[in-house]
Amino acid sequence: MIEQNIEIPVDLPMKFIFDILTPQPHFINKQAQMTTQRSASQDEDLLLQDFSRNVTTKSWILFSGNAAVVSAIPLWLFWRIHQMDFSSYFIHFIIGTIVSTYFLNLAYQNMKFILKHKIAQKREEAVNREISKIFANDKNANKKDKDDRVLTRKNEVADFEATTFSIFYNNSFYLVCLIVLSFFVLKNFSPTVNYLFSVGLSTLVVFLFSTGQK
Amino acid sequence: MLRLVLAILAVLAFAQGQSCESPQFQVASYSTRDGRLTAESAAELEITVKCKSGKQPSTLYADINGQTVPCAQSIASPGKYFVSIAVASHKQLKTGRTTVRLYDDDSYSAMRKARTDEAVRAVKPFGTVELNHPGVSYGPWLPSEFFAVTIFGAVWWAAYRERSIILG
Repeated sequence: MIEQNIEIPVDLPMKFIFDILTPQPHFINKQAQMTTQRSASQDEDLLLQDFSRNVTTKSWILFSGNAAVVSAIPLWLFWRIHQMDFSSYFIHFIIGTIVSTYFLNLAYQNMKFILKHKIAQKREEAVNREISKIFANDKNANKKDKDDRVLTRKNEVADFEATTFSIFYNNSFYLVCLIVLSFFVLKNFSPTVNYLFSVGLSTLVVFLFSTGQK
Repeated sequence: MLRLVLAILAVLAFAQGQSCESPQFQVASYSTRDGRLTAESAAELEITVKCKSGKQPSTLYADINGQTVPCAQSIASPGKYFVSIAVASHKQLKTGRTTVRLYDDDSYSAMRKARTDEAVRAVKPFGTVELNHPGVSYGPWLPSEFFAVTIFGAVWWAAYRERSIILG
């Protein structure tokens, strides 16, 4: 359930990673710098960033890291339970992990793009309240500055929530598909076939469902 | 006179080396534990006999599950006797502690000479040991992958509901 509050309901490690990669803007210092002479190109950049499928470098690094970790989880499963020795199957493992990482990364980006706008709509009221409180005591600020602040803040919040939720949803979906395929559907096949098809099909299913709008 | 003394000494020496006095038993038992990969049950007893005096019994017989069978011995392990039993199904091997009566040559001969069941039961065995069979296991009722898919499925379902709310 989406809560209409100001604080971002995320765990500390994720927030820490985001703070490291992108320092939080110091609104108090920037407020003096933001003048009515803001160029049209900056507005266009904000709009393009809002509606673009491209992710920033920090998001790409975050997605790739998560995808690599999640893609490496089946290695332990197949090594310990299906008795696939690393020295004998390292080629299969490397190929499977790389392919899975790539398509999971794409799935994260797809779902983030779909969710971001919806989350931004839901968070708009809360962000407006937050910015109004900040600007309530500042009599020099004009409406345009306030609108810019609202847009930037809304973009930040929606970006962060969409990123984390995309990672959470796709990871859970991927692991469910992997367990069902590996231990129920393909359990009577050889370990090699089991690994390649369970990882491949799970990745494919997650990627395909991430492109859907609903 | 000298002959008499020598004869008495010979008799005493022969008598002392004849039988095992106050035997103590150490038992190690092994039995079938997995009921999924096996159809029959088997059990083995490894009995170590230590005599306070006298020599080790040359042969031991074990009365196990109503059958009296000779125990095997190993040249490399003197004082150790091995007896095994195999049954056609898991249920035929009794779970828990089963008393196994041991007979040496003398007691076994006495048992063979007995004509009635009462007489057989009246024969004093060389010793008794216990076979401990914990029973066979058929594994957990639900496999572990069932719990894994249930837990991960519940997490995914919660995420799916949230996604539906966001997109809805």
